[in-house]
Amino acid sequence: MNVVEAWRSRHFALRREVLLCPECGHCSRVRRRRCPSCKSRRAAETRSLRVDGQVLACTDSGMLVERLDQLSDRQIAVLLEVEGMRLACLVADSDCSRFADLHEVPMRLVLRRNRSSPAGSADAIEYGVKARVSSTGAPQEARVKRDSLR
Amino acid sequence: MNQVAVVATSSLQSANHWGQSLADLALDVAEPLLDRAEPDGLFCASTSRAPGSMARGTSVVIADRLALPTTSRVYGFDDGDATGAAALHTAVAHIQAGLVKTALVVGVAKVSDLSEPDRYRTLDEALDRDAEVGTELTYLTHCGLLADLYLRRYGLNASALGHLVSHNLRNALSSGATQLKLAPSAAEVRKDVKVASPLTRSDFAPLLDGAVAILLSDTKVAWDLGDAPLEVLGISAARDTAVVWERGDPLCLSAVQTASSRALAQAHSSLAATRLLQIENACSLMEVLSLETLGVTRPGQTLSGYADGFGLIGGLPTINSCGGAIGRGHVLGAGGLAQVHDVMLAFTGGGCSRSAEALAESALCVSFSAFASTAFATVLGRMKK
Repeated sequence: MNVVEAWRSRHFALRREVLLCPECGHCSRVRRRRCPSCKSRRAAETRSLRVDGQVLACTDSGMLVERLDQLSDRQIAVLLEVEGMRLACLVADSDCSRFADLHEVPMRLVLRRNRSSPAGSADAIEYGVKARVSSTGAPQEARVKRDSLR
Repeated sequence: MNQVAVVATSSLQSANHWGQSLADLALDVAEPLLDRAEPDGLFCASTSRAPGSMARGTSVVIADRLALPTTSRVYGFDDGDATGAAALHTAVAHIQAGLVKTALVVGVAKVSDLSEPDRYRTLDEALDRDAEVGTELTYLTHCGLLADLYLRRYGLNASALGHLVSHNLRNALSSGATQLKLAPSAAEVRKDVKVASPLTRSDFAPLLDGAVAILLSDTKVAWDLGDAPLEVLGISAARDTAVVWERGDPLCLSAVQTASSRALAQAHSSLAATRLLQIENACSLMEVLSLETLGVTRPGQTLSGYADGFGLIGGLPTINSCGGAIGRGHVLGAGGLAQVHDVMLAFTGGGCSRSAEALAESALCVSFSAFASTAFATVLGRMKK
């Protein structure tokens, strides 16, 4: 892992800080000279995103090609809409094995250990923002569990 | 301003060329063109981040292997999938400005030293690293999310995606651009290994070794150097927000639209008059989004169109006469040059089953990197004596 690179992104990882255009409200993770949406040159404001979001799309992805077992390195990723901003992230490992279909399931952004930092590794531990089923979405969680039994 | 012509093209079939280095591939592909003219400019497209390539200085090494004159201008390009098109457009601009008389553009990739997962990891370099720190998302994952978003927006079944892949493989088979003996059906394509649901391995072009070379000159000397030169009628490029999810609509490739319309306007042509389109398809979904953004097909109806035989060789328009990267194999960084080679074959009746394209007067090539954060459009036309 690149420790310095991870440190640079700590504001997003810890507080979900993004840059907000004061003119049009466009949110971004990266700094730009002009807002890509309204072209405003007014300085972007820092803002912490809420943790709750809605799933717009999901995928079950991984480098399966050479292993062919459909399980190794399996990653479930979702595209979340949080306060009008689209964010793509992985689903937290502890949750993902149960999920079949996450469409429209309310999810919550959390900080979790990345796979690139396996237990026992001598390297620094890397954390990243991931999604997990929202605790307020109990009925949906029940539905997800039911789906996974099919 | 000088007018520019594509004098001749050369290509190596995409495959695992185990016994050849990157420079060997470049030498093999360029040698037939060097017999026609001694270029005074080399524009070399090779993605240096692909492990197995020579990283920095590739263009200088290739210029050395080709034994170009010491006074030659040598340029190297590295811009992901769009590298070949970037090199081509720069070479055209140099001839237009009179800085170079004859330009050799070479696109080359060497990936056979890598495992398949490592080959696909080279595509991750196209992502905006600042926005991806700590996410562990790959190019394939983003493609899967984009495909899921597309299917849900238009209420389509994932099985529809198979028609596009099947279409490209059928065109590749008809034109002899693939080593396949049989083009699989859409249903067979969908049975392939899932890579990023709903996308299967077949939805991603196989990353292979390969090389493409193009000889460019002023149109005044084009007939002296080539047998059936093509005129470069228009070139244009455009860009979009690098982070696909920060765009107004992630399913709209505005850079593709802008670059294409400007290139067609330069050529005094229109999309309706263009019978042959070569569209970048490192991932099948990007071809769908390109066609829908351009207005060639209506939103959500491209896949059903392919199921009905739209875009096959002989159709109007023909889409990807050699199957694009999915059909012929993806030579990372040389895709834009391979499209020009395909147009040259189509216009000269090379290969087989190309009678319809042989009647075409102009062709549009659209090349872009990853999610079309940069796009290059080139309009080529038959050159009259």
